Amino acid sequence: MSRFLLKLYITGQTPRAEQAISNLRRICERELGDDFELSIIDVLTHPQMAEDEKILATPTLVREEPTPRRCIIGDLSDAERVLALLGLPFFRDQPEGDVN
Amino acid sequence: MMSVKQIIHVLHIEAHAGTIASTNGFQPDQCIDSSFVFTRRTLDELRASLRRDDTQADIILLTASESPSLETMLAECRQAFPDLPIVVVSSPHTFDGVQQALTSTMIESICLDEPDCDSLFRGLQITLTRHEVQQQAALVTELRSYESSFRDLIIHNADGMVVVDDAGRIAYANPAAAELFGRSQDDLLHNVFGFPVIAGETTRIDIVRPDSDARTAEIRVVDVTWEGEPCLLASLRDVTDRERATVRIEELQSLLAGIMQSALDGIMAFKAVRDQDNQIIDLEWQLTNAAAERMVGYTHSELFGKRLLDVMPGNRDEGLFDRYVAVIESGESAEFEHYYEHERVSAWFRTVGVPLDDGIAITFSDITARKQAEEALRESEQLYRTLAREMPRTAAMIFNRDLCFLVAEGEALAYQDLLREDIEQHTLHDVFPPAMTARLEPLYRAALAGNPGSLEHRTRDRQFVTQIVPVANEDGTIFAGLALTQDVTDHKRAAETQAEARAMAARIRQRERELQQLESMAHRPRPSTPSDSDATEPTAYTQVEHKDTLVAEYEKILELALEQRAYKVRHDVSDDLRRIAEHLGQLRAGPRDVVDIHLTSLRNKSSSTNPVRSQAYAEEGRLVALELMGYLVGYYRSQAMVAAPPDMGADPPSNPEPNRRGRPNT
Repeated sequence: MSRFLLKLYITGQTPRAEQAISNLRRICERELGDDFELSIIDVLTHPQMAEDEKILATPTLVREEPTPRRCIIGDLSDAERVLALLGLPFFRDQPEGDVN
Repeated sequence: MMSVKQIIHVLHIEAHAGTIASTNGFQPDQCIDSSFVFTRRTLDELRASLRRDDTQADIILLTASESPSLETMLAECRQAFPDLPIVVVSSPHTFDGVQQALTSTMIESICLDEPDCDSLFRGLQITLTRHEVQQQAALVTELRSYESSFRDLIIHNADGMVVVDDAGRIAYANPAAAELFGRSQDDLLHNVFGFPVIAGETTRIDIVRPDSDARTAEIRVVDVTWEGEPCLLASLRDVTDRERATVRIEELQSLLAGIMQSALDGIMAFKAVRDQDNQIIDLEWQLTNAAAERMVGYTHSELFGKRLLDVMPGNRDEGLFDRYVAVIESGESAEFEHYYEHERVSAWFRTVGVPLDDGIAITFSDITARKQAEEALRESEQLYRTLAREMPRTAAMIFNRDLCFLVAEGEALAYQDLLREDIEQHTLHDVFPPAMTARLEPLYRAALAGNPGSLEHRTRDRQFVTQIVPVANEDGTIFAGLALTQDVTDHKRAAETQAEARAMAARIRQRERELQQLESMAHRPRPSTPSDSDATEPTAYTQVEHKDTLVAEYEKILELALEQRAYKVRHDVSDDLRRIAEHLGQLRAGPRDVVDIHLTSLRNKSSSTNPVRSQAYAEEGRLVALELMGYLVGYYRSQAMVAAPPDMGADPPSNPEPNRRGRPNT
């Protein structure tokens, strides 16, 4: 499996941002093991980076690698849908944990 | 491509005989078979029969023998089977009516009477095909109308609408979306938006705008077909204000909860429990803060939902329940103090009841300590009053922690223009003018904090000293302060008089030293020195006739000096004093002789006049005596200079140099 390079854009340390970070970490640790690199970018402290990447809303998860680049908007609480968009299989019989 | 039907289900209706027939599976090699003719009284019965037999018809073939029955039947057929095309078999009797029906689009086509089977089948095929084409055209028109409405709905929607294609790019953004994102519609078009992932119906996202203006949107996503492609339609509602309000409300709720739980006062909220007649029969607990839990000995969970009179029936016995009901019924707040001794509680409370919807919020604090202090104060009040009355030129005022005077007593109140009834139960600010209050308040508060202090102040011509000290109960708790004011005017005056006497004695001693110096300068047998007045050899002054004469003259001068002071008249007392000084010099008198003359004169004067005038003689006499002393010194100095050797100095002055007041320099 290719190594995943992920960027999560958030706006400040709000409960919404914390929820997205928590959900994403849970998904990555369970589905990707060590095969991922995650950067969390606060658009309040890096507004130019968000503008360069044409980020229109947060939380936005950007899968930079493997290509093609793909963006997901929301708090990432729907693990099944997030995995599908990331291009990963979702196995219903494995323990899901509390992602909601 | 549209397929041509090879089997046509014909519903054949013969109108002329009042009968209705149907034929199924009409094919080219078949003609209309009379065996399929059913006799039915109405079309409704025919439609129900077709539904029951699960029979489908593609077309209606209507045969009518005369126009009136044709027109009636056409209208009924169109109403009963609105989706089926109608072909009319015309006859010479009905031709005009059929033509009219064709024109008004009630029927699709006509055929001549008694056609051959093949011609009829083809005619029906053509009619059916044309009917389907017309229906499809109508559907397309309707679809376009719907699509146009859908676009209008998106374009003009107040919510931001973003159509996202299967690559996550924006295929369309409406003006409201452009405003929400702070970008133009063109900037948004083809920009990567991403795939919205929403667990429920909606979720909230933060909008990233170029101007950094923070916005929050609620996003909802549905699958749509946009320009023939499957897309996602994301509707974005700006909930920035709502979210800010929500956050603010949460902050306030948190703050309120913090205040509630940290409040020292007990806080409870109740909902009214009413009977069938809408009368309040009890109160149901809704809220209890930590302080209230401590004071009543129950936790919130033990009280929530319970009834007041069930848990604490003492509220009815003490009349508190009735007061609470009055607050709810009247809508007016109430405040009162009461003692409560029920259900493990035994304390004084100060309670405030405030109406709250159909209930009441009660705030209460334990004031037992204050009540006990007030009781102790009342007990000691009489003692303070007695003490203050017995102490001369003294006033005592006791004040509580609100700087309100509880006791005011003593004769010095009148010296300060104060009345007891104007002081008691009034505050420091009520009793004293602002300037005095500003000086007293820090001292009062310091005393309540355990630090005594004092203040000197004047009222008209009287001088006072106020000592402010804390008043504590048996266990050392300070519950009040005592301001003890004494009139010290007489003490002050006595002290001033003593100070003046000491100053005068010092000046006399100074004169003696000067005389001694002059004597030593004169190099001749001493004329007289003040110290000799204590010696065994008396001066000539001590002879009775001289002394009486001089005392009498001095008394006259004293009288003139007093008149000069009191009535602002001018007497030349200095010349008289100079003459007496010369006389004394000739008699070799010293300063003690001058003092003797002075005191003898004062005694004589005081024995024959009132105390006020005596005091005036004493005050003015000091100046006269000093002036006389100065002239006597001047006399001796002049005598010494005359007798001095030529090398000792200047010419002897005949008189000492007067100062501005015409008196000699001393």
